[in-house]
Amino acid sequence: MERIRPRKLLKLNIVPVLVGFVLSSQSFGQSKLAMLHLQDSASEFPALLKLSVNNANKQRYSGVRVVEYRQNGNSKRYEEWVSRSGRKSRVEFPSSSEFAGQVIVEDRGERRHYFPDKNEVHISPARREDALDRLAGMARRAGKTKFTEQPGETIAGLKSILISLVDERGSIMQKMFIEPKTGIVLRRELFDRTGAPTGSFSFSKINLSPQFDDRIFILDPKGARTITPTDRIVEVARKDGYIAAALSGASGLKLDAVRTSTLSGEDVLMEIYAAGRERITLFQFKHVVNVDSMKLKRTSSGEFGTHSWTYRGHTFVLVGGPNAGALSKIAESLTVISKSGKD
Amino acid sequence: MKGHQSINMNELDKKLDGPSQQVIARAVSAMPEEDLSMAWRSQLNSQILAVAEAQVKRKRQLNIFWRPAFGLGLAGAIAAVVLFRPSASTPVTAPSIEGAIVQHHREYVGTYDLVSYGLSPIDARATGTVASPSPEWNESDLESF
Repeated sequence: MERIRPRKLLKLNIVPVLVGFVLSSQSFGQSKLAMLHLQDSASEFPALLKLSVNNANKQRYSGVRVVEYRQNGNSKRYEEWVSRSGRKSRVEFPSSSEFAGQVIVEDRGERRHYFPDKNEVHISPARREDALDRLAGMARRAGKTKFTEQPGETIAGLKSILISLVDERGSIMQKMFIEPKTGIVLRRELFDRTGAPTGSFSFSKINLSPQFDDRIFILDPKGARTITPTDRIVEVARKDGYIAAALSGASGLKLDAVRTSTLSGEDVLMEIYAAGRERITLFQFKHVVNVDSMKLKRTSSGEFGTHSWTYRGHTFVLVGGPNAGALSKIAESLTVISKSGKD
Repeated sequence: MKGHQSINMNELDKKLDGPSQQVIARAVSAMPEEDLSMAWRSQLNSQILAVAEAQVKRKRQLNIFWRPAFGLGLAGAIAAVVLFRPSASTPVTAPSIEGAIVQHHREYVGTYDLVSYGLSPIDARATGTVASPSPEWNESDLESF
């Protein structure tokens, strides 16, 4: 086994804060919020949100939901056909969709994503448990965050209660429209620190008494090749000239997804890990890139930790992290993957 | 010491009042007194005037150049401040590599939370050509569940 030790371990100042939930608009002013019922402490989780979290493993429904998000300055919008039964879920796409034919099934802690064009099933840890659970944990930590509750809109024919997550300035960070009897989240909206929406989903149709065979949650197409995130790293590394390396699972991380992208004209391999309620992204550049550690730290504004180092002429950057100093420890667990797995 | 000084002063007074000094005084008084000629005075005045005019002219010439230059410089500085003042809402530089890294992480994590069991941007890849497409579904199929 080859253990990679970063040449420089920088002193980090990782402040655990809400990851992914960012500040919101002044357009939702204090006067409007004053009408709402404000809970005094973040630990006072709204009863409806508790219901939603507790019922997440019991909900059964099928429906159509529209997902929108902004990424790299571009907006993306698509429709998903969703079937869900407790911890099991299945997502498909209309024939007119650019994702037509793809199927995503989650069951027993595993996520299987089928790509018909390549006849591949990509396997990763299930993500469903994360969302509201993460919200609960983050709200507990972010002491000055508050929840507001008020009657919501009728969505897909169902009445809802709107629960908003509000920061200490009174800006809305997130809105959740929840069906009060079942706790199903009918619509969810995220906002950035300027108040612009960064992403949302909303059900356009929903059936709370669906009739479906639970075998739809089995995804095992004949002859399909099974690809794990580690396989993806090896494949991309070989094809595009990256070092096939991953963070060790011993550090408590689960490799969730692998993707290539281009940042400021530089090709980069991104590995996304789940670490409890946190997400950590490992960026690998194919050569030495001048990443200014102090600038990186400033840019993250204390929202999450950052750590960068160079190995074998490649620059690595870690972003995310649960607490100070954790990233430099995690960086030490980077391990080169052999053909039969990690060395 | 004081006595010595007073003796010297007395001796000096006596010498100045002496006959030799009186002769010189009379000679100086007897010298003819000449009036300055008008021509010389006029010439002197002309020269003074010419020098003064030259100084004023040179000052004017400098002002002709410097005043507009100073005005233009001041106007330019004000324009630069107004036009190129960094604004809180407008980024003045292109996104740096550090900014792009942080932005990517923030966006992916945010949408991960949002879509949960659905399609996340990290997985999003358009379906290519499928050799043998599976039977197509429509919404009526979904509603029949």
